[in-house]
Amino acid sequence: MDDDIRQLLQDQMFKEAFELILGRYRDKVFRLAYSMLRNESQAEDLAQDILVRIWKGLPTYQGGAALSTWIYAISRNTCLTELKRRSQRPTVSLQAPDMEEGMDRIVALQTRDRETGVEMDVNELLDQLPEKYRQVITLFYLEQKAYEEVAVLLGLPLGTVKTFLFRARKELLKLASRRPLAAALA
Amino acid sequence: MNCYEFEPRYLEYLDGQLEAAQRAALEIHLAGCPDCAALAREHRQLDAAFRTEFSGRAPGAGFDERLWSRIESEKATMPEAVKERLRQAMEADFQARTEAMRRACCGWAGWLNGFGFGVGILLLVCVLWSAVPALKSLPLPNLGTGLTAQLAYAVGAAVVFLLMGLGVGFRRPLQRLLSGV
Repeated sequence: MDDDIRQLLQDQMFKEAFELILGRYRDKVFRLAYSMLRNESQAEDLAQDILVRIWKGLPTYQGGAALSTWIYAISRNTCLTELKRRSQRPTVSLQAPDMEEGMDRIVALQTRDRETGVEMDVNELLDQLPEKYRQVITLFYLEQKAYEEVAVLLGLPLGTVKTFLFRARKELLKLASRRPLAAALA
Repeated sequence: MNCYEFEPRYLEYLDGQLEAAQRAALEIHLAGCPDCAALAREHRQLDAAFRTEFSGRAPGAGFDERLWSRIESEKATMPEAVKERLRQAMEADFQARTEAMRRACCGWAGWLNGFGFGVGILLLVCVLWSAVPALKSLPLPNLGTGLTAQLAYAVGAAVVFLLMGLGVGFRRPLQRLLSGV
């Protein structure tokens, strides 16, 4: 895996190596950013930041770790830095990103089932989950339910990903149906 | 399968992770339990809503173009510190490759270096010994080795210097040997 890129890096052909990286990892980097920000244009900007960092770091890649591990580590660090920066930002703002977020909410998918009383606004539900569950479940659906991919991207053990997913979905259902699961099972 | 076992298994079932036997057991339970059937329906709806929300998310058109133009502009305005870091990384890489090549070409180079260094110091001592007559007439005590005192001391000094030379020359290969590289 990625032997061709590693060979190009060894030959100091950084532009060619980066072109291959872009083709192979662009979408994954974007989806990781999206799973943390849940806003397409902001995730694109963040994915660009990540990829620029990767490009800048290519000459320093020593080949010790797998290229994918190195790329995902940079991606995660950049995402976490961005999340930290956002958490320190004033919450009341009329700046464009927040307006954009509001628009996203408006067009968010709404599913209503009158028979069971389940009401779903995916983004609204996700907002109520703890951050770690939110990231895992978003990435899980973005990666089309590939448990292993989610584990690799987030740098978590597979068992942890499965546990988080189970708890997240249980919690989501509880939030969506507005009644405890125990009642449904009783 | 009972109701309490159902939910975790059902999520695996929904994700296509269950084996055939477990799948069959779950479907039998589902057919006979209205509560679990209702729960399964809710899970399916949740699953469908998330799939619809997140399917096919990818960067928009023009993403690559924007990225490349950003890289080009960053290249032009790259600070000296970053350029220096890149230069150092490339230099370190060159040194590592040269060293690897040298080791691949002649694995014994390190040992030969050490031996040569030791012999060089020994020759230097011999030259000094013969060039400085005062050294031969030093009032040295007899060591009872059967050799003349001067010769015994010269041999001793030569051995010490040879060991020092070997020590200096062998330091790096020894370190490599001990660290298992």
